[in-house]
Amino acid sequence: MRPEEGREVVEEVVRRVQADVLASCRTSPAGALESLINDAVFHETERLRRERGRGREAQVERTFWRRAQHRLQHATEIELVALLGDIVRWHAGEIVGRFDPRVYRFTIEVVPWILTVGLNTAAPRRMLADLPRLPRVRHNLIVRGEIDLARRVDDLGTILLVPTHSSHLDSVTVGWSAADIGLPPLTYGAGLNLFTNPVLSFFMHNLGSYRVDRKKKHELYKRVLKEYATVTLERGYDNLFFPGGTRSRNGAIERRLKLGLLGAGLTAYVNNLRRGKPKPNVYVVPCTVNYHLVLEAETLIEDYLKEEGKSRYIIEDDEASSWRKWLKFLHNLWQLDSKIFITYGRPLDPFGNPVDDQGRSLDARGRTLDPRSFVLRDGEPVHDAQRDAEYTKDLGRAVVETYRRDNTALGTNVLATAALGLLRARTGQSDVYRLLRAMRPAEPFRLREEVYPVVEAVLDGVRRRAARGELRLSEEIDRQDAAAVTAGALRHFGTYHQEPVAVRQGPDLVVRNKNLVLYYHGRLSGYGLDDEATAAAARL
Amino acid sequence: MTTSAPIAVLGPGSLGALLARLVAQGGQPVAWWGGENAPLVERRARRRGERDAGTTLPPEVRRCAAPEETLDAARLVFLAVPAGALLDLARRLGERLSPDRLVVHAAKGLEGPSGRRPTEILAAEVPARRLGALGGPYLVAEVLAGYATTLVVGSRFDEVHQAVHDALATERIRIERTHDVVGVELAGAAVVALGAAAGLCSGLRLGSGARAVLLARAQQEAMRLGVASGATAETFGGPAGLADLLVVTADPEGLGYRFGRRVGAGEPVGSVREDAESRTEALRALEGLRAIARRTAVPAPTIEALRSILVDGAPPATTLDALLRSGS
Repeated sequence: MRPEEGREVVEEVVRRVQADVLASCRTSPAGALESLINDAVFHETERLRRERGRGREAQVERTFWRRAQHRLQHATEIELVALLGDIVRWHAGEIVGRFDPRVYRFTIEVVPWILTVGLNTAAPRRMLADLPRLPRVRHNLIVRGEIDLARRVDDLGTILLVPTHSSHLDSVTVGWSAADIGLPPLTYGAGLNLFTNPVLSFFMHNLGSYRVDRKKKHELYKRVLKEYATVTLERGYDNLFFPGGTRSRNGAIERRLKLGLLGAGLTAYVNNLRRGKPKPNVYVVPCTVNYHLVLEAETLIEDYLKEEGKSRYIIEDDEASSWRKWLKFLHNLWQLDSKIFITYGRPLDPFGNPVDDQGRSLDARGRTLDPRSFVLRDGEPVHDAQRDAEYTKDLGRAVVETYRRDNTALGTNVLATAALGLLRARTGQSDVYRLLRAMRPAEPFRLREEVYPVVEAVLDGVRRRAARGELRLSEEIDRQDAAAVTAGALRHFGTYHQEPVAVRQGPDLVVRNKNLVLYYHGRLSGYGLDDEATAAAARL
Repeated sequence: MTTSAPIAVLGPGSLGALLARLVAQGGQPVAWWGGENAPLVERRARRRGERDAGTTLPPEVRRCAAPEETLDAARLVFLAVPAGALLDLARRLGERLSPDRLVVHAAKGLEGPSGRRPTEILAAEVPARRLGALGGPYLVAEVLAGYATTLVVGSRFDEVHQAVHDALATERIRIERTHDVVGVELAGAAVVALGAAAGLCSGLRLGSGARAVLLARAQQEAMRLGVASGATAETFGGPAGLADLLVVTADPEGLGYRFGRRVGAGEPVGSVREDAESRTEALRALEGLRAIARRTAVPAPTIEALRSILVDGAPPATTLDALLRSGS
């Protein structure tokens, strides 16, 4: 959005959050407003103390919160309201994104071309084969699924694009895919860590990203963030954010979502109805991203294993923070002719109902229904926090279900699932942690006698599930035999990561990095394939 | 706070009529469908001088010839049909139960071998999302006689709690609210199943100690199944569970109880089941509970044993004897 509109949005957010907070404080016990502000001041002061930032920005922040603390100590009721406004404005100012159409055009048209040509020097044979046409990003980024419908519902309302999240590369790939299929520029909710690199930060800022600082955990910040997303949706800006909240640590598809921001779609929809907007609809479009290799896999799985259930949540020092790693990763991507699959799921209304090809909501029996009737009371659309929270849970379940169905099985996932099955059968351990401890540093398996039969069993399993519509297949999985799938996966596993995941040594496949085997297997977990792989391995 | 929107009650039995009566007593407009033969049944009962919920309906209750007629502008809809009849009614009403309506069922039981709970059936068949389940201990005759009791409304939505409270709460009827819909439904299904189990014990002339152990074990298993399905254990110990269980297992006139007693007394299950008077939700509930046990991999040997006796016709005495000796 343009800077002047950004200011309008900030003021709108301030007005709404202030009104909302004051209304809820009126029905709460005395001191609720003071307590809310106190909570914000405490959390921010503590965060700044922990971070010990030295830059100018950190200094300005410290001054703001010190003053806020001082004002809070002596505030009358009127002063409390003023302080609330200042804090909300402060956070809204931090969050607000801007959009520069020149930067957008440059990014969409020029950057992929430069990137493609530059990186194709790594694969000269392929580039020569394509001549006289120059290679295109589209060759490696496969965008599929309900693309036409995504475009259609964008004409009918506003889109909330909610992709799976496994890498910082997701922002780039999904953003590019949205532009490629003809969606307008998206307003991003991007983690603060993407703004730390000055070059990336420039692009993120000017492509409409707004900053989401997950270290800010107090209630007031969350309210401002959600209201910002709501206001932009109401103004017709298509939004993108990752409802998983953070990158998947174990490679698995998200099963639980952060529902706070997801609920912004419903709030915006009700507000649109109340204002009588001609196109009130908000469509939630789940989007599933699958990579053969994941840029930050090593750090993510290490984090998962180190503190199971207590992971660091925000990782700032992983592979994505190094340009060298990014280049190496992209280089490998091109060299291996590796594909990234971006699958657009069937759009949902804010209540989790799928929509038909005309964007109309459907019930469980496939009948069209009027989505307004979910929020009407005495014929008028109304907000109801408790009701809407339940609807948003339903939406979250529908998004997760779509992720599962649109998840694409790739060769690296199949081989990792087979390898884990072999390891389980060999060690007799079903518990992942015991299994990893029981493994030798380099675990060999006979390719022909052990690996191929189990890979075949996993392939059979994923194909059966794909036939039932439970997940999707890449072309390799659909057509190739176990030996070819294994060879393709090993080509990926042998490059990029510091230590190869697995390599071929003569007639053997040797598992080198057990953690990464667990990580790449994660994408196919939850489908019951583990048991089939282990049973196939046990039968050998 | 009461709402002036009319309330629809659909239910051919005495429970449907009771709900309609309670709503009317509260001063709210109510439309009631009592089944295809309702007028006939009502006339016959009146002629015989029988006092039940139907014959005591006040004139303010608008009687409808078809379930669709009750809906009109109704925001709150009560479906007071047995679990076994819910699917047909839901399919018949279909999209008429639109998302702006609050739909509350009073079907204590499960679909049968699928193990689907009533709200699962409704969610699959009708667009309404704000669903609720009514449970708790009540005997129609006692409520009509003015005895106090507590009904439980389980729903994910506070709006449903409030609407049911506004419709049914009186000085003598307290409404307890919970978000644990799964708990209310599974506790209700267990109560129905155990009503038959209590009858079985009576027919077999088991001692009160053995009867209590059997019922307690089955209730505990049902609670474990509930917890594995997402319910909270407390619900099974509250009005929708234990309190209702005490009422149903002490009521020798209950359908399930009578069914169990005949089987316990030596009548073959097949012949008892052929008797229309003895058609009972207990069998469906037992089938459903077993399906849930298999799905959740939670052991439920008592429920399995009761099912094998009351559904498959296993010899009651030896089966229960083996069960009680097993000490599970």
